[in-house]
Amino acid sequence: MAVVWGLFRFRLLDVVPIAHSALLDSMDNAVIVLDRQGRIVDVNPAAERLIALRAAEAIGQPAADALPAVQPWRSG
Amino acid sequence: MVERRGGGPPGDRAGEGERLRVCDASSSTLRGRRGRAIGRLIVLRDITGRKQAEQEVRGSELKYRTLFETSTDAIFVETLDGRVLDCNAAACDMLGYTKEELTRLTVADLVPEEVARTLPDLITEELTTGGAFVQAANRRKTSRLPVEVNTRLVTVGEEQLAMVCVRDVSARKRIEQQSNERRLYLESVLACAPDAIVALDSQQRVLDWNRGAEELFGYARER
Repeated sequence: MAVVWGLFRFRLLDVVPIAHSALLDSMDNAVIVLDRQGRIVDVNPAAERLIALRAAEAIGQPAADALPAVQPWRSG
Repeated sequence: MVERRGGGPPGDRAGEGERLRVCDASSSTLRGRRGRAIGRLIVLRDITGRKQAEQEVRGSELKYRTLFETSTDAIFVETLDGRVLDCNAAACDMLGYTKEELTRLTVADLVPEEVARTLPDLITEELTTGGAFVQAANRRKTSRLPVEVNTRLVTVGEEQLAMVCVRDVSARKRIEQQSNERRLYLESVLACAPDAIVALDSQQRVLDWNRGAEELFGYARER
């Protein structure tokens, strides 16, 4: 009940995604999200700087092509 | 964490030109509500700067280690109470011990007893030898060799250590002795010669005057 009240009272549903997004944008570490097929679906600005690809160019590319030297997704 | 060296287009292209970047990479599976894998999350941490710094430190260490090991002078790194922590190859050659043996010894084991008695309990800044002084060192306690010792205190981290540089001056001492003997020999030849021998400089000033000259000219050598 308190959670539901908090959601509406403090507009938590609006704040949390924004906070997550801001956190990802301000991180020094590069974060790359892949889908099940190993395609890039999201990169943060640090990842854009590191791999020298704009998000618009990187998204949709197979990670194996975009990041041949960094392949931790092969395991697990 | 998996470390991967970036290189080659396009994934490892760094923002700054084509320089290689070194990253720590971690990857985890993203799961949906039913626990099915729906993707992967990859986090890359650029550690190029740290790796470069580590490499520079290693390069610097190698440089100084090479200087240390190829020095013809024996170099000892000691605690202030005289325990040998490290030494170079010249130290082993000079004193006839292996490095393992030397690092189990103290300065008192490496010098003759009469010198050991005069050693301070603790080396202090005042007791370091900015200039060199000569003393004897023991070669496996069987023979002695004259050495010139130069001690400096250095701070490594939070510890104060003594860097002791020891030079074998046997050859110099031998040359000094030979030169002294030669001088005495020539002086005795000059003194005993029955002929008058007078040494003059370029301005015809008398530099030396032997007994023969004293007898011939009637002037004593010393006036």
